[in-house]
Amino acid sequence: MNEGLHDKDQWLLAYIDGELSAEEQKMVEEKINTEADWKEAAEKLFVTVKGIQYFGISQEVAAVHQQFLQKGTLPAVQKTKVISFPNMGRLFIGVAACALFIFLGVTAYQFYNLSPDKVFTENFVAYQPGVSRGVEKQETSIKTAYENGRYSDVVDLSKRSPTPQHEDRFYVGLSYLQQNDAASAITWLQPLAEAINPLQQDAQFYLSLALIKNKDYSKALTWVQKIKDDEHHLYHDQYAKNIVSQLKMLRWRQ
Amino acid sequence: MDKTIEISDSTLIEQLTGSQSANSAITYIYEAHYELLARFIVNNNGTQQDAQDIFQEVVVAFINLVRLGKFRGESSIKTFLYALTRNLWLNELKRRNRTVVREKKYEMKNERKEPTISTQVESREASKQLLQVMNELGESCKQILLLFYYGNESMKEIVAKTAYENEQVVRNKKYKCLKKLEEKLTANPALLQQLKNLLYE
Repeated sequence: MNEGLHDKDQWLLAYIDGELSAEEQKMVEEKINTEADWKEAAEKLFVTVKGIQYFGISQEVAAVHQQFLQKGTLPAVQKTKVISFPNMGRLFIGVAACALFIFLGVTAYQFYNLSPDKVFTENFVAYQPGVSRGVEKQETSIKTAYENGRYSDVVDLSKRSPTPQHEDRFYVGLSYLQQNDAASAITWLQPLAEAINPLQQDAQFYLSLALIKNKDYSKALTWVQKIKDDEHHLYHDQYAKNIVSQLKMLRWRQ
Repeated sequence: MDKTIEISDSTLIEQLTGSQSANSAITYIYEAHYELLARFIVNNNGTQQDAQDIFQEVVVAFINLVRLGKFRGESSIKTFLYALTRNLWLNELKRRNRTVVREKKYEMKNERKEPTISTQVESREASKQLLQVMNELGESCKQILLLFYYGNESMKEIVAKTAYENEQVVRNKKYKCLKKLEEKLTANPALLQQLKNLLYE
């Protein structure tokens, strides 16, 4: 037992300073828990010590604060315009509305400016005779006329020839197409597109274009889809990327 | 301020609760967080001076909470400091009879959720009074009490740093200074209660 301690305050101070043995600590704690005056005294002492520690913190922070002030290293912050959440919401809605308006405007522009001739022109590619696709080698007058761009001669010759060959029928169909007679082109190209023959895939492609020109969008869409779905088709990658949506738009507008 | 090397929250807490001086940790807090927190004050009717004063109090409050074990790390230090700043500053504005309309509802909601921070805010006045009381003790008492209870220095170390003859003389002086401080606090029951709230909750 610590004989130097005579009164309650000294015991409590020694306790709080960690200078008591385990047995003495237990004694003091028991006193604090059971005797009101010990409890009150202990509480005051604890608060006093904690107050010193709090004061120490404030002094240490003040010292650092002064260092920053003396070095001039505390930045002078400027007032910034704060966009409150409601304003940000309105801003977002405004931007979204603008984007939607622009999108709708562009879509409407595209819709009303879309025409079968425009789609035809975007997708048409001139057929090049003489490319080896398994066609018959003998040159006919129809073929010669087509190769020379004499589409009306091709049509005349077709009327004089009783049963043109497959290749000639194909050139006749193309010639009608070149002369903007889509209906006649369809008449010549459709049988070739539906039957198995060396020019079947070519006929299918040009038939689809003839159908577009003839404003028969549903049938055109059927052929276009068929060709696009067949990755081995000669004209699989020939169409413009948006041809399907364009045909649907034209069909809807009809 | 120059670009600061980032210190993790856990490392910073260790530095604040360790036996060594907290000077480098406090410096880091200033470098890493002052600008953001000062901007909040300036954007809400505060001046540069207000920002400096409040930030200093925020740092004191934060370190006190850390050493009392009341910062549990449930949020980041940055978030916690921001909450402290917001509460301290809004209460200061209330005290000055100014209103920040859009913060009022948020402030009320905040007080319910963050009692730890609210207590620090309410005891701002108490800490000012404590400062005054400590200064009334005189420099020698302040020095001994701080060296022993804040610096955790032994009697032998205190003898080496002061002009006292031996450890017993220091011990006696410390006892007298402590009793003097205790009497001053007891004489101000409101301050004593506020300190209890501040230090114990």
